[in-house]
Amino acid sequence: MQASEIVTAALDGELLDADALGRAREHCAACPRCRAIERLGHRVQQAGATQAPSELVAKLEDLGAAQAMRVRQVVERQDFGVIAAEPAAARSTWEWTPRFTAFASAAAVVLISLAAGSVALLGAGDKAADTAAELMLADDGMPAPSAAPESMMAEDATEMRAAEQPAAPPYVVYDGIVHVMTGVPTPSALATAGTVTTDLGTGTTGSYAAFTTGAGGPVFVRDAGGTYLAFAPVVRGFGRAAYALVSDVPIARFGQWPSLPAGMAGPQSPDGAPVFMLFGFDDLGVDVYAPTPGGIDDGFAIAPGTAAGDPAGGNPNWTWWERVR
Amino acid sequence: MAQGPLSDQEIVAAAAAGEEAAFAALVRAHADAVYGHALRFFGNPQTAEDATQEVFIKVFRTIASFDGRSKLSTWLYRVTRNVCLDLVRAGKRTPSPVDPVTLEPLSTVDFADDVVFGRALEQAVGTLAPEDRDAFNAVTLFGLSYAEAAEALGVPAGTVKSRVFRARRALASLLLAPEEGESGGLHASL
Repeated sequence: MQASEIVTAALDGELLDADALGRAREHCAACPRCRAIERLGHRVQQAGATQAPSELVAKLEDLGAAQAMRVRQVVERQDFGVIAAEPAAARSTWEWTPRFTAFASAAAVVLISLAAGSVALLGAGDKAADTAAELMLADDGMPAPSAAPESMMAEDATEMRAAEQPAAPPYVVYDGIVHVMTGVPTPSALATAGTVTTDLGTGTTGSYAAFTTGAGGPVFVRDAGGTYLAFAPVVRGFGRAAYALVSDVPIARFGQWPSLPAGMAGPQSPDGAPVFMLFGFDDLGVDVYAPTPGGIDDGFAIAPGTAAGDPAGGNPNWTWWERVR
Repeated sequence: MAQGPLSDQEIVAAAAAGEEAAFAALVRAHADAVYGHALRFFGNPQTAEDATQEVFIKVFRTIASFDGRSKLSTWLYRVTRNVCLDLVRAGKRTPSPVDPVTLEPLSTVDFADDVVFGRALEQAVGTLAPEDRDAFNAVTLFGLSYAEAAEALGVPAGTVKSRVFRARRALASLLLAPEEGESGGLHASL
């Protein structure tokens, strides 16, 4: 073994024979080449690792705080004994079809039974592992696949899948941004802003006049009876910025979901690959995906199946969000 | 929570309970090592930041399932290495090659300057063979012993030792000017 190899192994914290180490040090003192390796070893140790940028560290701490909050929510749910029932209840329930309502009720009974059994089996020492399992559920806000009735026939399952997809909220697209209906206001000082293509829930798609009170505010659409309906942009927060849900095509009917812009290829796997990679969490703790390669300067994607309470909760499609402020 | 550095077990238990301080402690203790490895792996600060973020997201999500059979830093090193490799395998990121010809030995003044030395070291590490660089990073960035690095890399401890030494020897020849009396051939064997 070379003298410098012994000396640097000592630097790495390896336990060595004191005599051999002494002889190695003597040699290194006299040998320029071994001394250089030893010197370099000391200098590397002294220099330490390159420091991660402070902005990155702050961002990682924010991500850690968001994850801590998610864990606490899961732990609290475990304490109340509603482990598996929660994600099912958390899904968007916008205009569920009657058939799926029946299915959901049956599934909820199964889920609650499973949850009750799980809670009974839970020991304090197992909590970490259960939390990890629950976090996997929380990641996509969906119930565990095993919660579905096992006896369901494949044909029924296919029909059920079509039926279980909730209808979207009443969306329209104005200026490339998806807006959701917020009510029937009493607008004043409206300016004509073009048209939107929608059915306004009537089942007949047409072009309706759109109005605004200023940039970035709500959009007002006048229906056939002359009533003004207000629509607000669908946005989500990420750090200090707001990102709006975008669509490059009109949403012709209420109940239709937006999806990724036409020029953007869809991911081939649930983790977004190969088009997207996980980038972080938004302000609600929802996974945010960035295009690969690159960051979120141009926008980010959100995976299907976000929970109720999310700005686009229940959307079965990948969606694209662009920064608006 | 008790003051002072948290043990691996304390961090895992606190993270599983959703204590924000545990996640912050993880970041503060390991961000430099993870970023350092990613930077040496990709040679690009932005890509290193992306990879570091992906590592911590993965770690945050799975820390509750960390079984404690190895040290936390050993596990973290394994996650870091795998994330970097996965990013390359998936074609999402590409390491930037460093040409050793462009590197020049440091003067005595530069050798003593932390900033200059650090920059030169990072460049020089980029020229190492990947297996030597991985072993070197495990030991010098993550503070793993040869045995722990061997476990993480799936090779014998002796192999880790050889790789780390080979890395140091290569770095010395890249970063240090030859001293008077140095010859290229023989080395003392003990």
